[in-house]
Amino acid sequence: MLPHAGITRVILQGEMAVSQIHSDKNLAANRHVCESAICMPAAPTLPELYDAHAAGLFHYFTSFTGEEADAKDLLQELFIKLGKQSIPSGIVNLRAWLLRLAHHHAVDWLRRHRVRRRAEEEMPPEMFATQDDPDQAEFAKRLDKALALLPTEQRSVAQLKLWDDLTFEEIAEVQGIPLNTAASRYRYALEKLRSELRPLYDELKPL
Amino acid sequence: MNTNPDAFENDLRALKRRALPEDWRDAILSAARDIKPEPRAPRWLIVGWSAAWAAILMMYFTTPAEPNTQPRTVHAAPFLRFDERAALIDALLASN
Repeated sequence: MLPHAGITRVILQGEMAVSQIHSDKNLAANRHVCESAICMPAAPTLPELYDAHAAGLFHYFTSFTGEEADAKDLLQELFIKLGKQSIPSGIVNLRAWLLRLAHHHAVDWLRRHRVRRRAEEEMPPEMFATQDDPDQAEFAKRLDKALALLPTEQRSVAQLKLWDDLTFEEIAEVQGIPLNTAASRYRYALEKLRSELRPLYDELKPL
Repeated sequence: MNTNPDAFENDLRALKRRALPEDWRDAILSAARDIKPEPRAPRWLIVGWSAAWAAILMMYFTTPAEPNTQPRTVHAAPFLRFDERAALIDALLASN
């Protein structure tokens, strides 16, 4: 066996990790801690995490709770949890890591509250930014309603895919489900959204 | 698995989600900062605790499960038959 094979392997792994780290567009700060030729991303601070990911986490929570107030509570609890523990350095995909924590937190919340929301009877939370164009504003409003009609598991997958820009592999990892399940939930969600929004979408097209 | 988004998906994706209210940031971060990190048990305590459990387990597995069933040796007076005892008493009386 080569005397330096182990060292070489460690350095190569370090370089691979660094290349993955640089590909993470969501990393709040591009700080690295280097230790003997291996660089790891420094653990982000709470304000950095908040600025980069809080909105996405909040909307993800909303897809479970259906209520802004509950989603805000969950977001606060998650940050308190993050404040209690030391955030590990060297996490390659910080967004997926946070979303996985958020997913477990949301599932615990659902288990505790056993919410059976009747979406059609409630005002769905506004997920989208205010649109200047009234047609777009109407479309966003209808999309909020259509999302509220989806089952939780389809809505949460649609959120991760469409607006958090996660791949099916990442979604499967975040939610702890098989890859095919993630893909089929997304497909069902998209079909339902399409059928709910088709009349307005065809009328407004192109947005 | 077709992962190429169609026009509908792209139009959905183009909608921007709303940002969080500004005042939430300070409220959430100050709540998170006010919580002190949970202290971790010192290393010596974890090592000591593990060693104690290892010793307990080792003693448990090395000790025989069944108690020793060998009859204990009874240190009692030798058994004498009635006639031997009577002869001894007679000899004692005669000596007096």
